[in-house]
Amino acid sequence: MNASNQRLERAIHANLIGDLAAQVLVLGTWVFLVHSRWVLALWMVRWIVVLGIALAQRLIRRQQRFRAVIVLAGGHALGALLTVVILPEFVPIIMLVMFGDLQLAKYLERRHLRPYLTSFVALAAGVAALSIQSWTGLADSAAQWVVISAIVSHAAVTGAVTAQFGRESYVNLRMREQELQQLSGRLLIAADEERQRVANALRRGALVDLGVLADRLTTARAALSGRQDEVVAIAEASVTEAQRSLGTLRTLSHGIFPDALRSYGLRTAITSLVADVPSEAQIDVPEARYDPSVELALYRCAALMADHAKSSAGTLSITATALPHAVRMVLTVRGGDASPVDPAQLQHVSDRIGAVGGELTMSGIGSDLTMTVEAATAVNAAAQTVEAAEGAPTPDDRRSDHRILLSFNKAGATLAGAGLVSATAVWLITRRPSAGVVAAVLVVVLVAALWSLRKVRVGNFAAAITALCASTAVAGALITAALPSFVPMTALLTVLPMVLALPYLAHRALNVIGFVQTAALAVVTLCGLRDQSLFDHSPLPSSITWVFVVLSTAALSAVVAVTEVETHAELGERTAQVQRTLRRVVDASDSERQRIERDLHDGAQQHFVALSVQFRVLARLATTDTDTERANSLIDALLAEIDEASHDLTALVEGRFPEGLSEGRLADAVRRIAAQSAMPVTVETTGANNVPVQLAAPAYFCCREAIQNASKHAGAGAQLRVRVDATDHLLTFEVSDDGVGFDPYARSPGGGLRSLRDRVEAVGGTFTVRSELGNGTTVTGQLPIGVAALVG
Amino acid sequence: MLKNGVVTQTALRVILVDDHSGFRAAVQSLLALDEQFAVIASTDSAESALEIISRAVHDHEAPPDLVVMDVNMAGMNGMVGAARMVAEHPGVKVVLCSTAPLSQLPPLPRHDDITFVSKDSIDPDALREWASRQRA
Repeated sequence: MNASNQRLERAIHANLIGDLAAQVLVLGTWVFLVHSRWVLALWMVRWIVVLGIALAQRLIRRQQRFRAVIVLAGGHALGALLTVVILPEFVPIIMLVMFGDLQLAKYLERRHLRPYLTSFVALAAGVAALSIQSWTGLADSAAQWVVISAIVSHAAVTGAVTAQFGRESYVNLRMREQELQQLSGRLLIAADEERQRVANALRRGALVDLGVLADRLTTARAALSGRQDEVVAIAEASVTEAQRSLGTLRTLSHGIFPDALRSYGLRTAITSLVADVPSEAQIDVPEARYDPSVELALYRCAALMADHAKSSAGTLSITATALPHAVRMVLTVRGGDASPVDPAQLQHVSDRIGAVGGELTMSGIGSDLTMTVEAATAVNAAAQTVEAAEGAPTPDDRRSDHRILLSFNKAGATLAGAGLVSATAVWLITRRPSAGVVAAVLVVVLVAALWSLRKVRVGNFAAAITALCASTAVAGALITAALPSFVPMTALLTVLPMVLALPYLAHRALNVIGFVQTAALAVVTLCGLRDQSLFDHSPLPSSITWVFVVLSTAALSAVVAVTEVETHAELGERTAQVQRTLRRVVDASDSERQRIERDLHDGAQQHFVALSVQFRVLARLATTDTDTERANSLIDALLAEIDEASHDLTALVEGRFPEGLSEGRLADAVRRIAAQSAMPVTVETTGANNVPVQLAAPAYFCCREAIQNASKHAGAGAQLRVRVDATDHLLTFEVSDDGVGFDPYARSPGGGLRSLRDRVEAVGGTFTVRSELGNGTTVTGQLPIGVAALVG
Repeated sequence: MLKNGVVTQTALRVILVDDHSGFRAAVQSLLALDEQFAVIASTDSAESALEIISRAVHDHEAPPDLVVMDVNMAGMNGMVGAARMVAEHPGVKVVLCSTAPLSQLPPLPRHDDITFVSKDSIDPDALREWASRQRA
């Protein structure tokens, strides 16, 4: 069962339990408290709803999601229509329940969305129309206090539940977004740490070893004339030394990216992985190749389970199956000692699988432990298409949020305007004070909507939402007090703030809004129970009431429906974007690992292989040949080989993690790049030689990329200025040139800049590129110091 | 060379194949110390090695006795190259070598005339012994 179905099942289950409990309560009330036909009727109608929920539960357990949603909403709809006919006083509660059902839209496919929303609007209008007239007069048979307390308590509970339900679904999405963001931060920081670890290992290991070998050669050369035994001993010791260095280097590069995985793929890599598992292992993995990040993530799963098989003395079996756009791998350890897998390591592999958009599940029966992993193999290509379609950079990520609030405000202002015109017309014709009150209220709503529109445009979302919340709550209460028949519309109006505020406000602010909204709803419900207007003694003509109640309810419910669905889609899109960023981060760091491993394999490792063979030649020469000339030229060749190896390794290490960076000496490192640049560079730094290492690395690579880009693109005669400043709280860098510049909207940032932005953002910083044709390019970054530690 | 089960004193004709020239140079100087080896060619790909052997056969020259070849090369890898060499030119023996241990490589072609040795422990005596061993 997928996660979305599971969530729906949980929601339906909670719904069923709640409704059954409510049924017991209502029956109890009827039996022990008030023997009223009204309560009994309520109890009987509610069974339709309960039946719908129970059916939906059965359907979702059979994975029939669409049917489950339709049956659930259908049960509610039928219950709503019957309730409103028998007990029209319940109409605000019905509107609330329907609003809750609107959230079910997220479980539907796109093509079902429009019919679903249209039915929502039609049903809302229908319920509103039916609610105007009392069809049965059942409520008159009950005591006033019974009806009031039943409805107000019902409204409060339903309001709170609906608010909670809505909040939870959004909070879940937002939490997922935050989790993904933290995960990508963790992965980037881990990649930097690994780079640093590798650089240090090479500086202290292979590079030192090469120095030792060079020294030995100098000693050997001195011993060539006469002390042949010594030369042989030195050469033989050097063979061992070179072999040892090679072994260390191989272990190091295996940890970065397994050589077998890069060269031959999963099948060979996993087979070699289980070579040292004592008990017989069964491996059935296809030859196919996938993205490095997918292969590495799957390999890490296999490594974890192989370790587990070894430590628990179980039998390992690994089966991988290629699906159309994914690969599924089932890893089982049978008959082990039932010890658990190390949770930290499990979290790590699960993070990696999550980062490539896959899912990992563990299950255990007795002493058997099964890990099932599914990773998408085509995600990357899809993500790139989307990125390409997005085109030019969007400097303001909140622009689309902005768009929803703007369009909602515009629709709200239009509705308020139309309402104002109608109310004024009705007031002018009928001269009823209630119409006048409504017109006055709508003036306030209109002004609030316009004010809020301005606030949205300047980016002050909190002020905009607060204005809307306050105006809808007041308007809801006053309009209902003036015209009680409008309660279906005003009930919807009162729940609006929640739909709007969800994506923008913090959890606590949402709780405050939920509370205020529930209170406002209770007031609205109370006002709606009155037969007469608070400001008027004779009601409006029923035809006018009828038309306006239906129209306003339909219009408002349409706005609510569209906003709700758009907001949800927006949040989903934001999560998807974070997921894409994460994938990009992982792909970038895994490709780099692969490059480092390949550089080590093709560079340093081959040099050490050649050295070990050449030293053997030297040993033989010294044993058999008394002619020192050949030995001398061989020593020259060996020294040249060592020189080349040191040069390659230094370039690799300096390129990936320059000297001094791990001690935070950012300014020195930046000055070194500037010194190597072909164009004139002035560097100014303050306090940037004692920077936290997790900030020094991203800042360094940004500066380096910016300087290299400037050398390539700024044009002849351009000057480059680099500033790096660090205070106690902030690290800033700026690389600016006065060259030809580029049109930032014509060109989307290249992969290099994008991955740099990801790295800066992972440590809570900002990264901007400003350029204009003819006016140079400026790259700036700001990284908060002290926050980075929290991200890690 | 085997002639009626007797090892002759002619040198073993060797081709070196690796895309890392440092390794080829080192092995060449190692084998040069030993008169029982004659490196007749040194090349960076399995494709060109196959071509060299075919040309030699075509020109009625003696094919190599021994090919020392890297497993992991761009283009045709050593395993495919070795399998083709022993199939197309019976009598040619191939020593595959790699920095990786055998357990971290895909299965080698199963053939009496193909063997594996780790690059850093390549040894002329062992090579000669294997190349000259009597076939069962």
